[in-house]
Order: sequence, then structure tokens, then C-alpha cells
Amino acid sequence: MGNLGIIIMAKPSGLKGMSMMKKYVTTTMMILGCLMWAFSAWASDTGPRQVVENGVNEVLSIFNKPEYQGEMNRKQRDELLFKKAQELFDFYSFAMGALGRSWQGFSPAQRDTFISYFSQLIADTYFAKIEGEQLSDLSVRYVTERFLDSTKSGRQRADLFTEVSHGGVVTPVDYRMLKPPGGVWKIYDVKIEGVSLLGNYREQYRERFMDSPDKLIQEVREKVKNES
Amino acid sequence: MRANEILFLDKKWEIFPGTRIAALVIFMVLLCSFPALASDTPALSLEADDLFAEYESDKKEPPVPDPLYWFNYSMYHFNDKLYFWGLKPLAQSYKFVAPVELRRGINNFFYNILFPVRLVNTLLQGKITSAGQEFSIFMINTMGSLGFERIAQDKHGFKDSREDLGQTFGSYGLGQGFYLVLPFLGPSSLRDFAGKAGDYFLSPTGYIDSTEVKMGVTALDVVNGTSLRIGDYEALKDAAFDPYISLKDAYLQFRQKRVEE
Repeated sequence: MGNLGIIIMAKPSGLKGMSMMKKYVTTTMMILGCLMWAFSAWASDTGPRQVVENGVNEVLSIFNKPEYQGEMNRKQRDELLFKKAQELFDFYSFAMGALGRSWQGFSPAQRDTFISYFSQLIADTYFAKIEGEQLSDLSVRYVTERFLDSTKSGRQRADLFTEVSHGGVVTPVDYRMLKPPGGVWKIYDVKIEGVSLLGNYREQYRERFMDSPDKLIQEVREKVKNES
Repeated sequence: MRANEILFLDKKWEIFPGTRIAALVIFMVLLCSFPALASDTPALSLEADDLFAEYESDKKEPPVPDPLYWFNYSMYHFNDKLYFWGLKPLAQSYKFVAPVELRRGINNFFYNILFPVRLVNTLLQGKITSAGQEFSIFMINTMGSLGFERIAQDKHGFKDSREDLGQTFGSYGLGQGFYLVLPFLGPSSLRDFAGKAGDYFLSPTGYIDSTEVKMGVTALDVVNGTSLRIGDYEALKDAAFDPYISLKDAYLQFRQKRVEE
């Protein structure tokens, strides 16, 4: 995006007698281009900890909004939370890891279908049942982040270690995150008390590589239906 | 005969020169598409292996077998029904009458009196600093609040070791043996079950003489603890496609992490 600004900037010096309108448009575009470049640079410079911290704070603020207390506007709240979850999680990698060997048998369309139901299931079971007032004494301590080796395709990886205190109990919650070149950090696994969510699904799917993708999709779909 | 046949075939080729070219083209196309095919699938799995390699090698020990599957599965069912039909309704009514501060206090109390188990096991693992911390936690919390509050951890920053004999065995290099689901007690393993039996000698409730009192105290401990965790088991079960495997894997991962700590 930064190149756009430079290209446009080079133009006005070469052309004389430019109309005000054109000048106005070019300047606006230049500023926009610079802004977008700055934004992408800022976004890519944001580390794993910052991403999770911002995300957790935003999620907590949704839970704590007065209009989302109790059963009223529950659907709206859950939709908002689901949107937030999709920003924070790399559900593609999460589903790929969860399915393990079975993933190979899925066509791109089947993968998309599976991911949409699977992410909905995760959101339904882990977000939808939380009441705002339950989180009043929740606090998160960000312990440390550790960068891992990049993958062969050049995706950066990191572990973020946190401790969640709630009701006098401290629970270690670790996030495994990845960042594709030029992208942003996203979570693809959560470990609660050392139990990896991705690993847990992977174990459940391990024996089932013989099952057809359609069968596995059908299963998630039913589960999502039962939940809501 | 053979020579004739070859000659004949050769002639046949000559009759339809186009066939030869067509065959060549098909062959070339196949040749070109094969590396594409071959590089497509392994590249994908490489990528997958790359990202998820740890999930295969994460369990450094060989996977824990489940030879008593049918027994375990029945016990899993038994515990599941016990929870939904007995323990959960009981804990819910108890939750309704007992305020959360009291329930937390009681939970802390039961945690505090198991101090001998933690102390002995930190020492058995040679963790002198942890042993010291456990001793301080016990002294501070007992004298400050009879163990109903977590003063040492909350105000003075002491860290719980949460050690037990199963973890001590693990730290000596002993594997889980095999997976085991115990009636009433839930997921365990041969090693952790043996550990639990050993720890029982260090737990004060084991030394209560009267059976009625012992059962009453244990019931309070269990119902009280459950009242603070209602919903956890349900969430795990709801999110799972195979709750038995999910619970088994969660238990084994959890214990593995504890031993590593």
C-alpha cells in the first residue's frame, strides 16, 4: 500500500495545470495510501501478546455491556462475540489441525463448510453460556511470550502464556499463534491447564480418517443445531 | 512369431502415425501432471505436519493404552449418570443455599488439610523450594484463617505446587501404564491410581475413625467442590464429538503437563 502513495506523489510534479478537483483527489488518495500503509505496518508490528490482550479486553467489554446482561439481546451479543472470535482465531488452521489425517480428504468447499460449523460450535460451547456477571472478578496476567521456529511456508509462530484468575482459582491458559507473511497474529490453539483444544479434537478424529467428509460435516452441523 | 508380431505392431504404428503423436502427447501431459499432483498433496501434508508436528510428538511417551476399554467405558457411563442424576442436582440445591464465599472457603479448607500430600511429594521429587513454599502456605493460611482463605497465595505471592504421588512416580520416569476410569473418582491411570492409594495414607480424612463422619466429610468435600465447577463437565461434553475420548485425552494431557512442571 505504501507504493501507492509514492506513485501518486510522483505524478503531480510532472503534470502542470492540474485542476483543483484532480489535486484534491490525488491528495486524498495520497493521504489514504499513507494511512493504509501505516495501518498495515502497525498491524503487522503488533505482537502476539498485544493481539490477545486487545482481543480479551474487547470480549470482556462486550460481556460487561449493560445491554447484554441477562437473557435479553443474547442473540445479538453472541453474534458480536462470534465476529470477534473470527478476528482473533485462525479457524482454518484450527480445523486443519483438529481434523488431522481426515483433512486431506476434504475438498475446498467441504473445508469451508466444515470450518463454518466448527467455529460456530466452538463459539457456542465456550462463549454463549457465559453470563456477564460471572466475569466481574476475572483478571488475566500475561506471563510471557515465546517465539517458535517459522513453518516451511514462512509463517511465524509463537506461544503466549497467561494466567486467568477467577473466583480465587488461577488457571494457566496458553495460546498458540501464527502470523502469515504480511498478515496479523491469530490464535490457532488454546491450552487450558495444559490441555490443548486442538490436540483434544485431533485425538477424537484420529481413529476416524475412514469416515467420509460429508459424515463428519453432518455431525458438526447436528451438534451446532442442538446447541442453539 | 514374436518378431512377426513386433513387425506387425510396428507397421500398425506406421499406418496411424497420428496415434504415436497422440500417445506421446498423452504421455507428456501425464508426465507433467504427475509432479503437479505429487507436489500438491505432499506439500499440503508437509504444511500440515510442519504446523502440527508437536501435536504428534507432544506426547513424548508412547500413547497410553486402554486395554480395559469396556470396563472403562461402562464406568464412564456410570459416572456420567451419577453426575447428571445425583451429584449435579445435589450440588445445585447446595449452591442455592450456601453463599459462594462459604463454598470457596470450604474448598480452600479441604485443599489446605491435604498439605501433607503436597509436602511429602515435593520432597520426594527433591523440590526443596516448593516444599518450603508449601510449608509457608500451610502455616500462613492455617494460622490466619484456619485454611479457609488463601492468604499466602493471594497476598504474599506464594505458588501452589499441587504435587501428588502419581506425579512423583511420573518424575521418576514411570509411565501412566494404562488408562483407567474409576467409579465415583473418574479418569485415572494405573500409575495415578497407585499414587492416589499411597496419598490416601497422608490425607487427614483417611484417619477419621467413625465411618459416618468420614462419609459425611467426604460428601461435603465432593458436593462443595462440584458446586464450584458446575458447567465445566457439560461444556467439555457438549463440545466433544466423542466425549469418552475427549475426557480421556484431556486427563492424560493434564497429567502430562503436571508431571513436566
